Amino acid sequence: MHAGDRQTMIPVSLSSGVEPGARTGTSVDGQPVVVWRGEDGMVRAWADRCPHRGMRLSFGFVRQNTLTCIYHGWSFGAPDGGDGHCRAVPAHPGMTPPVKASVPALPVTEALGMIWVGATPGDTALPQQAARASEPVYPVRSVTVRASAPALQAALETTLPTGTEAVEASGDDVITFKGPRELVITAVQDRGDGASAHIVTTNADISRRKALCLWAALVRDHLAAVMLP
Amino acid sequence: MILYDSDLDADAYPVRLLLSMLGLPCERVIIDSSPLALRGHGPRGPVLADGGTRVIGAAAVLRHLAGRHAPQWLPPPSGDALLATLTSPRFAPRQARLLALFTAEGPAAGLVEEAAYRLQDLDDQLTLGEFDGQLWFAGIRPTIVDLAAFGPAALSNDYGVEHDPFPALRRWIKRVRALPGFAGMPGVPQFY
Repeated sequence: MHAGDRQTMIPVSLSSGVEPGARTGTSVDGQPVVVWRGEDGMVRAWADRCPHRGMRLSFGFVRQNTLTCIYHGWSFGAPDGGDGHCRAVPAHPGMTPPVKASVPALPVTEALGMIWVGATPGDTALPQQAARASEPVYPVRSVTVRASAPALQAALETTLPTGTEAVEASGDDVITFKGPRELVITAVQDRGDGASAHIVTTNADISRRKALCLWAALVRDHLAAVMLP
Repeated sequence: MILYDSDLDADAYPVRLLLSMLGLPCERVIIDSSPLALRGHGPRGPVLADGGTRVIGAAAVLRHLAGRHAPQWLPPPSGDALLATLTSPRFAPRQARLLALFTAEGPAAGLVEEAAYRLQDLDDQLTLGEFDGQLWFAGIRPTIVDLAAFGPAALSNDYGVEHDPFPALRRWIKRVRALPGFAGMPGVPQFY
């Protein structure tokens, strides 16, 4: 992870966490990032900063396939998945927005039922387990805790969900728990002031996924209790 | 009907939401209803004058309005405890916001953390509910419990807690915003 090295992409949400028309702020390798999905179903990850006055774009709103800043209504779009170019400035309806008014885009993709973002334009590789996944997966949930990513990773690895027997940590933030009827896959995100675990399973059963929700909350709450001053 | 409240008063926000969603005409008298301005001497929460009746406090006013005009907005008994929690003066998200807005020193870090845990509780409940198609806090329909929860959740940026860690809460906020007659308030922009 030294400067110049390529990092694998970072999990920022379950795919179901950002539905069409939704946006959220997140943190990718210390940078504020806005993740949003247009009505076309395509997910985008941009620097969370309006080029006009620096307002966080994650406070804005999605209309069709543009993201609009809540501050002065500048709206940005990128049909090609590239940088977000300014499409409209409400205060100057007749003006063609300047080319410089654009929001840098980061690499983004969906795999394993999660949204992955590259910290720099060259970071386009997924962790192996995400890249080679073939089975369909179903969302469980994301949990976030004020603890370091390694601490959350360790807490997950040492608290196997009931009904799973083996754990396979790949060394790149993805943990797979293996059970007789399923794989439970978690990916850990370092958020700077905390960490998130995004969790999916190959088992579609609803009561099983609810049980996994409770397991994840339990791991989170135990870790939070340990972290108390 | 007359509602005594003010635009910044989040305790009265669920009442304004319900009036707007039901399309009920109501006169508003703007008072400085901030509990800090009243220093404990004023009424506890918004006051509604309805004919000869005077109803005090968000939960009571919500129940009164829903009971009289729209019983489908009343929660099943299982929602009563959450409604009481959400409208309690001691509910941490409410206290944190009041101190952030109306005092120079703002809320203590511990109170903000406590408020974030209360939002986490709400997110946990919605996360499990979604699996069973329960998209609202008290069952399969929106009720006054959702309106009472909306302000504390949507206004958390006032005291520096973001929605990013709470995906189910975000989805629910979008659902509430899509209800006919939804209205914003300072800190809850109309566009979303």
